[in-house]
Amino acid sequence: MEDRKLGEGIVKQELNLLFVIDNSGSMEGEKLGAVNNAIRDVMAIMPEIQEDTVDADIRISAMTFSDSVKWVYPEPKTVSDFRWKDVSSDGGTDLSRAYDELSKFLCKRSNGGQMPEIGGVAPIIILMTDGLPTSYDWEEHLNALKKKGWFRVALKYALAIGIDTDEAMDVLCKFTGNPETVLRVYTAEALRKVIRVIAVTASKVKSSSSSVRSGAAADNNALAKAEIAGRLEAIPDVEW
Amino acid sequence: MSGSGSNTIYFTKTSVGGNHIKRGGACQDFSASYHDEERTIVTSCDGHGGAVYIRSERGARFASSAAVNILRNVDHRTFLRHSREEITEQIRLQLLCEWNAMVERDLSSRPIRRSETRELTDDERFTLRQDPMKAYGTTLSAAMIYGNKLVCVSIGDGGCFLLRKGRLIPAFDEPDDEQVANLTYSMCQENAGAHLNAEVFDANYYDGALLCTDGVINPYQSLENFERSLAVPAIEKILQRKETELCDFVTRLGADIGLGDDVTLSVVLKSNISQRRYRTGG
Repeated sequence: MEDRKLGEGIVKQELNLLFVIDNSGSMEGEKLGAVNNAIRDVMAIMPEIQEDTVDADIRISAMTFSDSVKWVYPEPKTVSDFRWKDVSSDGGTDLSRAYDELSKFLCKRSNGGQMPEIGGVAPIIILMTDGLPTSYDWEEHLNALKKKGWFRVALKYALAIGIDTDEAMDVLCKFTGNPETVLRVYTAEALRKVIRVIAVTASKVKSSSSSVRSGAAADNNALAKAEIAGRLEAIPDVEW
Repeated sequence: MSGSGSNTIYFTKTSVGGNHIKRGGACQDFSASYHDEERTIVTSCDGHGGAVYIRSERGARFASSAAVNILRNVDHRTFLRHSREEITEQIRLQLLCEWNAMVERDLSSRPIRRSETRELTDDERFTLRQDPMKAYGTTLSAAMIYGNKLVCVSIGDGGCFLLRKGRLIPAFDEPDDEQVANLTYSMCQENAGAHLNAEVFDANYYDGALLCTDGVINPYQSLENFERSLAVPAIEKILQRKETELCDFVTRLGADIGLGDDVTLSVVLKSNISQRRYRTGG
């Protein structure tokens, strides 16, 4: 083992960006097409954001859920290693399984998850869905997810794609814990823009030197939310 | 602060973080050492940084004083008359009572003033009115070498490690995923007793203990990296009596090269340990 001197070994803080994508049958066509395009857009910009920050190492993960859950990669990828693979649709909307997978992900690596053992920046989680869960016990699984510290401090957004029932909106409000971070999106173009604004702005704000170095997850989230809200104003066909 | 007890060497250093320097804020970490003929005690405390914790630097001082006050009363009679479980239970309860009493006395002599809560939201003010002890929220780690006993106490996200043959061993298991980012167990929470760990170890098996606040450990991301890059080189400096170099490093870690958080590093070692185990070649 190589010897080290004081001052060596200090590493960048990990910032995880997670896309949680409903790929049930009802997402087929324009909706999933817009999601695929949006994530490709985001990935085109991310190298620039990563280059601009010396303090944070951005890691990207994407999970799709329908009747089953699938990670695009088994572990978070760096910006340079993440290649988006278009997802296709099939099956129901088993939100319970998605929440279980998120619970596993948001544990420390020594506990079987993907989060750093020590340190780290509160993650960004973007959930996208177009309907009510088909799993009746989703709330039970959400309660288990809420027990994870990384979930509680995460910056959480939910995109309600073409949803107009209060019941479905309530499911998403319970996920983010804040109605202001649940966005109703009505068109494919708006969806594409919204995903880009949230993913890019949140990554930029939370990976900035002052954010990473302040260590105050809640304050960083507030800063990111304010910036995102300002940018969303310019996008038509979005409500929140 | 560094020095040696009858059979020990100790080191404590607290330094303000870069973010507090920029904002002109107070250092919310606190550390102390105590030694007499029989024992050496070191502490490491981190007052919380959130908005409602308006007196957390005082909370950290009280936690450190409470730990010293309680541990200095543990003596050979304690170890003769009581089982390990009884001793650790006593330490935990006495420590919580002592800290709570200190905070209550402080609140009674210096009630929270309006000027202190001026920048809080209505919700935060309400929280403090309901539970003024929250203002003093802090973590605490403490370690004492007493003869062949090594006593460790800890609550919160600070590091509390045992040292053995050049390796770092967490003194307590924290298997849950609760204490991440700015979430931590605290002396100020109602069920603090459930999260305050205390244990008596056999000092014959260990070289000492290393305590630190999260500002020291977080920049290293893994325990293995922390051990190689900070713990072993730091112990080497202490054993070589180059504490000034270690103090300078801790100051830089807080102000410049770390995450901008306040930093505290406290170490207590048996004086007869092998330096060979803590040699980096640097």
